[in-house]
Amino acid sequence: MHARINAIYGLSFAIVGDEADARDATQETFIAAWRRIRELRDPDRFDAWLQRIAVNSARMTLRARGRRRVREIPAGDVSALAVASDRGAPESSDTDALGAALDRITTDQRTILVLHHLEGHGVAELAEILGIPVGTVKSRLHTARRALQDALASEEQAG
Amino acid sequence: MTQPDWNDERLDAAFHERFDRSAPAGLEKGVHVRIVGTSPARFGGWHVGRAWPLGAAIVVILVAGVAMVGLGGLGRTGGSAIPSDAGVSASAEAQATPTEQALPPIIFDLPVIDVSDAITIRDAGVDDREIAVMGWFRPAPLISCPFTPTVNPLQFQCPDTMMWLTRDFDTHSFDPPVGPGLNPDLNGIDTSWVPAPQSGGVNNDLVPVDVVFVGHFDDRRATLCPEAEVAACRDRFVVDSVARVHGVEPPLSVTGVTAGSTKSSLADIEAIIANEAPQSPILSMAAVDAPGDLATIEPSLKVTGDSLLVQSIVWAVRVLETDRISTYLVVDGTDRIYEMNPDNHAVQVGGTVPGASPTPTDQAISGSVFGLEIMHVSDALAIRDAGVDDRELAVQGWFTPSLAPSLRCAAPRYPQTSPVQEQCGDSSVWLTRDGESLIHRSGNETTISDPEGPALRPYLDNLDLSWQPSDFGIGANGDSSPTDVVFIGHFDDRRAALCPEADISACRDRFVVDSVARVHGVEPPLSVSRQNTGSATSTVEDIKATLADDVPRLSILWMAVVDGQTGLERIEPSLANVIGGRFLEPVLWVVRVLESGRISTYIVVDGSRTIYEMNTAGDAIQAGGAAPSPS
Repeated sequence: MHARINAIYGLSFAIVGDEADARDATQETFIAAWRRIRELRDPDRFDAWLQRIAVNSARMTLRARGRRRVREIPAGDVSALAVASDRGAPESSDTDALGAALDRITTDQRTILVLHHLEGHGVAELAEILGIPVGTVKSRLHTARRALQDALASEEQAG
Repeated sequence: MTQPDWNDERLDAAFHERFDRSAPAGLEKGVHVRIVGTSPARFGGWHVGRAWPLGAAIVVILVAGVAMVGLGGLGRTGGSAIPSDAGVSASAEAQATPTEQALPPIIFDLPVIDVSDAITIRDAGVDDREIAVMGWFRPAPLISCPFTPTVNPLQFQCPDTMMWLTRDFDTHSFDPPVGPGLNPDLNGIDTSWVPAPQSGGVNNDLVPVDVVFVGHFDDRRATLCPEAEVAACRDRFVVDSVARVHGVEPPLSVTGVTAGSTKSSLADIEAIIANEAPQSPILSMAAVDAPGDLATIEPSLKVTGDSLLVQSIVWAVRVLETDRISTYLVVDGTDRIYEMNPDNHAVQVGGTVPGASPTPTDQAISGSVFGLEIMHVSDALAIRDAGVDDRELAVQGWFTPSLAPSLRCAAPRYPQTSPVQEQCGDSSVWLTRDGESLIHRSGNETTISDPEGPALRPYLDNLDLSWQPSDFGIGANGDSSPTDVVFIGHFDDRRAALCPEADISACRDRFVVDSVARVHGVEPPLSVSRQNTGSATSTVEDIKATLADDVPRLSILWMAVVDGQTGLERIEPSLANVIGGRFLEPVLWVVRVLESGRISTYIVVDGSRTIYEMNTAGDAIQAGGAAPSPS
């Protein structure tokens, strides 16, 4: 059970890109699952069902974040930013590049890529989780990967 | 070393490196806390008794597992008054709640949780959601407690700290429970199901009762507790309903109602509530003697001097709306309904007495009351300023009530020697020509402004003010709405002469109201002020009949029943100087009568036909009746 909480938190964090928002989204995921308990018809599909709820919760969290006018930055983060600024840009890595590139693409593109590369879902599972036809998944996944590649290339050039 | 292109393998590795992480500490607890107080039925139309699908069971298992993990991290602490080692509770004495197997999982759309989960919710932060808690209720033992005045129902008083709702079966009456436990607040709840405490029993123990309480922490009234006790008040589990006793659902808790004691029936109150909060279950009801007991339930009303306190009986009804409790106050015999808002103010939300809607200055007024032509405030002011004139006047205007006793006042310049002398709070009382909003509230700050148009200061003490709007008529926008009234009264009251020299002029200028003739155009009943502690044997009709023999075409504006000489002096201070006291009878009636356009004050001895009339010098002269009162 602990692993499932971690998995949903990791998925949420990958989509929303912020720890506090990921916490909120994770809580909302389990609350929503509890509320919509009757909707689950096939217990074998429980994980996919829960991840679908997690994706929706993450999207809702992002929408809410978009409405905020001011975002709070923990004092520790401000200090870290100041230190980083003093010593120049942090050393580049795949994870840094990926993080920066994901910020350049849309939420839908980020979501489908996270489900594919982090959760390891194939096209059929993505279709089930996202609630769209398989053909649509294929085209969206292709578009998202191309967008990510472009963003990574831009990051590498900038680095 | 050259990195390969961003192929699937490299992307997979980067994604996992960046996003594989453990959930932060406290997240599981947060999930658990939110789930245990949340019903699937409320949101998903769950029906009790319906077979759970296998998938649902899996989710429940998941949630339960999450909860267990979360609670493990918490150590299942029971709070300050409760030992934290829950393992000890699994003693030989402990036994499963008999109702545990038969209980429905949901009561009032709330999942039934145990005391440990309730404590988790309590300790997780401010959370006033309604929860249903199953446990063993251990009533307080029979002990002697010193009397302490109640300031707030949430404050712990003897023997509150010895009354417990425990997770485990526990009979040690004088000790805190071994396992998790809560101190419930059962004020206003029917507790006739509680076994009577008995002394001298085996170990002086009481047998706990297995119950399900529906209630909440973080009650809004906790903010009114003394500062040092606010945290303890917040942690008090306020019981709004006893949902099960030995597995059986008891009748709706209704307290304070005996046959014929209320004008409204239970059905009347339920209908009023249903109109205001449709499809919301009533958890408990109490008919409260408003002057004596309402402030013990809603202490804020005393602080603000709310007019609800001068009602005879007020129904306090707790209603479950969505997932929180709402407290409605309904004035007995009316459909006037108020809701206690989160700031502890009573806000009128329904009823046939409409809120005042200010009218234009030149609103046409016409008609007469008691033979007196109704005039504007500005006309009354002209009479006042023209010279000494104590004629009775009928004045139409907009009334703004006193903020006392919520005001902090400086010590008076002079001692109170006359009832018409201004006191603390009187400066906020106005009768204005125009419907001006004079009281404004923003957050916790309430301000008073002086009227801009013509206005006079009425003196309304000893009058029935139950018609006043609650919370000064302050609406949702924070502005007060004055009340459209017609007052009958006079300037230049003879008692102004008793004021300190420096105040006499101001006392003369006060408009002494003898009768409230109209409220929103409606004539209220005769004001009879009962200020006596003894019991009067005469009725209002007896007094009217007694006076009718001596006063032709009797027009009574006001009556008061007082405690003999002591009570009389508060209204007629000139009688205080009579050596030895003039009136030895325990109960007297003071009656103001309109005679030839001026007010006359009569004193009638209760249970007799003896009448005195106050003359202009402030003496009581016998005016009728067979035998004079001993002096």
